[in-house]
Amino acid sequence: MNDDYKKFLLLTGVVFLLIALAGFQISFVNLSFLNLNLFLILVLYLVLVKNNSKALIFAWLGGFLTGQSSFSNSGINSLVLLILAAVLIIFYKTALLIPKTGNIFFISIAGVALYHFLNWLFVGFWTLFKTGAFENLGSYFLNSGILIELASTILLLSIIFKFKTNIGNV
Amino acid sequence: MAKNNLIIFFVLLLLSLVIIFFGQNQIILLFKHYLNEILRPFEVVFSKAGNWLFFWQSAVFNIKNIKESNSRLISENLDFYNKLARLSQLEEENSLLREKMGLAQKNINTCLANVIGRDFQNNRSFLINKGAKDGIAVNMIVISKDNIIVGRIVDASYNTSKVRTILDTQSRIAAITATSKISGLIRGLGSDIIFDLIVKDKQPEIGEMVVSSGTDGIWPRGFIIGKIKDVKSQDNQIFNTADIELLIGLQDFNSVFIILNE
Repeated sequence: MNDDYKKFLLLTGVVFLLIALAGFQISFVNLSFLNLNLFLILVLYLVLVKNNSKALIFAWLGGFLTGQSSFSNSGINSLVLLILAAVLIIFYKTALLIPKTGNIFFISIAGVALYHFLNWLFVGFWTLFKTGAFENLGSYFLNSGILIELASTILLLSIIFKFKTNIGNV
Repeated sequence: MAKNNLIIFFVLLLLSLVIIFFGQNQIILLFKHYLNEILRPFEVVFSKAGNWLFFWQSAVFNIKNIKESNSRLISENLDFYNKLARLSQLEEENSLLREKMGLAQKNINTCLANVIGRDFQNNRSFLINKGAKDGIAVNMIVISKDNIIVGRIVDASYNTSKVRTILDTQSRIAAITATSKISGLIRGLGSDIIFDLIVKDKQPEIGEMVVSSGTDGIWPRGFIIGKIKDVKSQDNQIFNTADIELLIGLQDFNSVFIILNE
């Protein structure tokens, strides 16, 4: 197989996986009690392994695909995840250096909190622009969902890195 | 960030802004339509798998409750059989009386749809598995099985439709309290709803039902929205407001009804 053919197959596979992941997020995770944002976890992982350009692209694509299920947030989801990825890349470069357990913990907290804050900010401004009303910040933070999301994000990222380390050792 | 990453960031930022501000452009709408069509098979498969899994998970964890409620339902069922017999008699009388008085029967034509997708951690909108091919159109009203208003269709593609719930900040419903007949406007606050524009000298009772009044010409008359939780009256405000308690959890149902015509 020549390189172009391989690249085409790889790209098709990645697009298929992204669409499947978005479908899984919209129709399985969001319907369940699992408070997981799979694209946020993907972005956090890519930032931690310093795959910055992929983190930006997947953040935007993930936001765009999952934004198809929402009405108010159409287009805003991708903007939120894109800015979040950019902020985390800068934060990770200046504050944290290697993907240790502590870093996973801090970047997960920063990621989840920033995601909710940016969501509130952009959805709030968009609503203000369209209807003249601004939303209460509390509805984005004062719920048990955010704690479950935080715990599951840390847990899933730790499992991914543990698995990656084990594979590396083998 | 490296130069390449900066370029990627600004290109994607620009794309996001174009989608946000020109979201109603025909090209973007067409692109979104095709994307929805691609996503649909995944959504249907995952929602079916999810519903099956959550059903059995809930069945396993609630087996004791199910046993108790089953024995209660059996005794209730017998009671309902008696009431049903009486009801059919009354229905017959009612239709005879209506015929005599020349009153038309209020007939609502609805279509059942399953929820196949939701927003992340909020209940402002969701996706259903019925679209334009099933007769669904934009602005149709979505209700729960108990005739409680859930929201409105805001986008109908060929196979699926998007529902904007009453929680969304863009939702507005002309409403009236069921017993004291106080008019106002129901507004979505994102995670809650409020009964606004209540005339200053009127105060609805706590626990009173609020129903749609139909005066806005958008929402049909007589559908339940919620009940009054708390009334707020401030001297410096022109109108009173009231917090509304929703009678259904917008995260809890798997299927809804769409009113096709009245």
